[in-house]
Amino acid sequence: MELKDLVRIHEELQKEKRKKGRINILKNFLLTLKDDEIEASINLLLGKIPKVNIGYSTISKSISKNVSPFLKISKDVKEIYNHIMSLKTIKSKKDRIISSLFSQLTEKERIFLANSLLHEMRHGVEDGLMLDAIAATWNIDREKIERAYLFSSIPEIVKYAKNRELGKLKIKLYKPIKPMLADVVNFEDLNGWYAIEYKFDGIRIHAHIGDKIKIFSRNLRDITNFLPEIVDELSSIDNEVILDGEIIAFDKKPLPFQYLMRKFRLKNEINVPLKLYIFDILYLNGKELIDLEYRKRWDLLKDIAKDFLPPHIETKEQNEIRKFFEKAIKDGHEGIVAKELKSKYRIRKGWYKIKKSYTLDLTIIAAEWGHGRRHRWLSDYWLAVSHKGKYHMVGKTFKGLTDEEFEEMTKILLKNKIREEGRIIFVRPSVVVEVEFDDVQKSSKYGYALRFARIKRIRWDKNIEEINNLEDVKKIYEMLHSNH
Amino acid sequence: MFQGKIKANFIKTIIDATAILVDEAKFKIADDGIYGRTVDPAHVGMIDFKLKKEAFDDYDCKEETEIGIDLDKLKTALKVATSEEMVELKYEKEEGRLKVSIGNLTRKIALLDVTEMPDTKIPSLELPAEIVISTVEFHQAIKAAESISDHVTLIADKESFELVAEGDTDIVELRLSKEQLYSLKCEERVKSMFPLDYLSDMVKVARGKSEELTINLGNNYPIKLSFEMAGGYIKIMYLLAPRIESE
Repeated sequence: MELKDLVRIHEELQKEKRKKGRINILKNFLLTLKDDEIEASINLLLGKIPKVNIGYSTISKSISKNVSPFLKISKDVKEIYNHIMSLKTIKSKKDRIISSLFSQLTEKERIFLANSLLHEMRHGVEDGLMLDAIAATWNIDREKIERAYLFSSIPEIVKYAKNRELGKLKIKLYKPIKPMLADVVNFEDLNGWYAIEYKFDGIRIHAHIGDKIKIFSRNLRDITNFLPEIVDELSSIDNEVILDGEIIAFDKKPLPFQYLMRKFRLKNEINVPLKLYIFDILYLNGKELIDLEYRKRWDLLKDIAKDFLPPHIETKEQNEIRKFFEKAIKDGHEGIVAKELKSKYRIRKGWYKIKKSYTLDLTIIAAEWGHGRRHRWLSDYWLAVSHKGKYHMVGKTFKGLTDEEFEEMTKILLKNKIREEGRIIFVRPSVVVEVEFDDVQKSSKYGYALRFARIKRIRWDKNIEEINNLEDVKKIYEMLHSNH
Repeated sequence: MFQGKIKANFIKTIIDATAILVDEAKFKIADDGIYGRTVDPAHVGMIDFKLKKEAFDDYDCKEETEIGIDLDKLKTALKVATSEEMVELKYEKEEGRLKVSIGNLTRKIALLDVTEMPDTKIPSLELPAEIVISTVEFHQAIKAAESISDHVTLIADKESFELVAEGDTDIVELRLSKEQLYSLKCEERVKSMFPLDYLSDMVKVARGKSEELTINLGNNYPIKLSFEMAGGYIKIMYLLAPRIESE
C-alpha cells in the first residue's frame, strides 16, 4: 500500500457521511491490508502514530521547505511509517527530517501526513466505528471485538481478526488495559441491583503486580516512577494480579485534585499524602477475570486487596442509593458510581456515575488577553466540544485557574497559536480542561451554552480525542430540562 | 588497538563538524588515520573527513577498526581542554570504551554498537564550478542572509560569484569578482539554492579553522564545501542537497 492509497481512503471517508457507507470504505481498506502493513496503515489513517514529539510549529515550518535529499524515500506506507518512528530516537533537529520527508510528497500526501502526525484526521473515524468495521469485515461478534479492544490496539485486533485468531489475544501482565468507564446518569435511571461506591476525584490507575510492580494511568502511560509509596504499599500483595483503582490526595479528608497533579508535574518534589483505593480485579495468576460478573470479581478482590477496598454497598433501593450519595458528598467526594452487579469488565457497559455538579471535558480553541490583574495572561477561554471531527464552541470562561496555571496555560496556548485577531488568539486545540457548570441553555450563538462555566482542573492526563462531543451536551441538556 | 595524541582544537573540530548533522556517528580507525563518512537522518547533509596520522603525535593503530561514538558525550569530554592542549585518545577492543586523557584527567567513554549504523556512500557528483573564497567573508554573508531568509541562492559564472537571499521585504547580496576570490573556475553559469540552516552550520565549523573555503557548485544540484587544517593533514568535506523551488 502506498501513501496515496491512504490519502484516497481518507478523502472517501471525509465525503461519506452515512455510517453504513463509512463502514464499507473501512471494510474495503481492511481487506486490502497485508499482515506487515497493518500497523503502519491503520496508525497513519487514524492519526495514531505513537508519540514522536513533533509539534504544530515544527510541522507548519517544515511544510514549505522543499529540499531534494540525496536518498529518496519510497512512498510505501511501511517505509514512511518507519521513517517517522525513527524520529523517536533522534534528539535534535527533527524539523530537518520532516521537511526532507515532506518535500518528497505531493501536496495532498503532505497535508494527510501532517494531520496524522498532529492526530487531527478530520474524518471523524473513532475507534468505535473502526471496531464496527472489523466486525463487518470478518463477520465477528462485536462483543468479542470489544473484549479484545480492552487490552489490544486496533492494529493488533485487525491482525488477529484477519487470521481468525482473535481468541489468541490474551491479557498479559504489564501490558496496559483500558479502564472501564462510567456513563453519567440521574438517580431515576438506575434500575435493578447495583454495587454503589464513591466517585473519587483522583487518578485512575491499573496496577500490574508480579515479580515487579507497574502502574498505568488511564491513558495507558507507565506512571510507576511517580508513585514509589504506592508501589511500596502494593508489594504486600503476593499474587500475580492486575488491579483497578484510584489514587487520591488525602489528608484526613480528600484533597482537591490539584494537589495530585502538582505531585506529577513537579516529579515528586513535594510531599503529597496519597490514598489508594482498589475496586476491581481483572487478572489473577494467569486467569482472565474480565468476563466474570462484577459481584464475583468483588468477592475475589475482597480477599486479595482487603486493605484498599472503598466503601461499598449492594442495593436496589433508590433511597439507599441517595443516602449513600449524600454520605459520599459529606465525606468530600464527587458523587457515586453504580455498577451493575452482573456487568462484565468492558469499556463502557454497566457502570454509571452520578455527580454533585455537571462537568464536561472540553478543549480551548481560542483565548483572549485578560484585563486588569490578568492582563499578562491569556485568561478568557473559548471552550469547545468535538463535533463530527471538528470543534464546536459551547461557552467561555475565565474562572477556575490559579495564577501559576494561567501562566503555564498562556505559554502552551501561544505555542499553539494559529492566528490572531485583536485581543483574540486562535489556537490549535491541545489542552483538555474539565469544566464545571450549573446548567445548559439553548443559545442562538452556539446551539448550546454552558451556564456559569468554570474550569475545575486541567486534564493533563487526557488526550484531545477524549473530550466530550456535542451529543454529550445535548444529553445533559435533555436530562436537565425534561420533566420527569 | 589504537592510540594517538592530537591537539584539542583538531579533534574538537572533527567532532563539532560531524555533530551538526547527527547525534551519533561511526568512525573508521585505520593505520594511516581516522575517517568518517556520515549523512544526516534527513539525507540532506553529508560529511566526509580525513584525519591523517600525521596530524597526531605518536599515532599507532595495530588493526583497522570501526567505533561508534555518541558525539555529545565526546564533546563534553573534550570541553575541559583548551584548544592548544594535547588530548590522548586510546581504544582497546576488549574494553569497548574510548579513553580520552587531557593532562592527568582521563575519561572512558562507552562506545555504541556499530553493527546498527549503516555505511554512508558519498555520491560522485559532477560539479562544474569551483570557487575558493575567504571563509570569513562567506561566513559574514551567510549570517546576513540568515537574518532575513531560510534559504540562499549561489550563482557562479566565468567572471564572478554571487550570493543572494531574499526575505519578505529585504534582500542580501554578496558579489565577488574573480579578482576578489582566491580562485574561480567556471565555464558556464550555474545557479543553485540551499537551505541556510545547514549551510550556516557548515560554514561556522570552517570559520577560524581555515582561511580558504572551497565551494563546488552545479545547476540545481548539491554543493560541496571543503577546507583543510593542520597543513592539509585534516580534510573536511561537506555535501549539501539543494532546495528546489516549490511548485
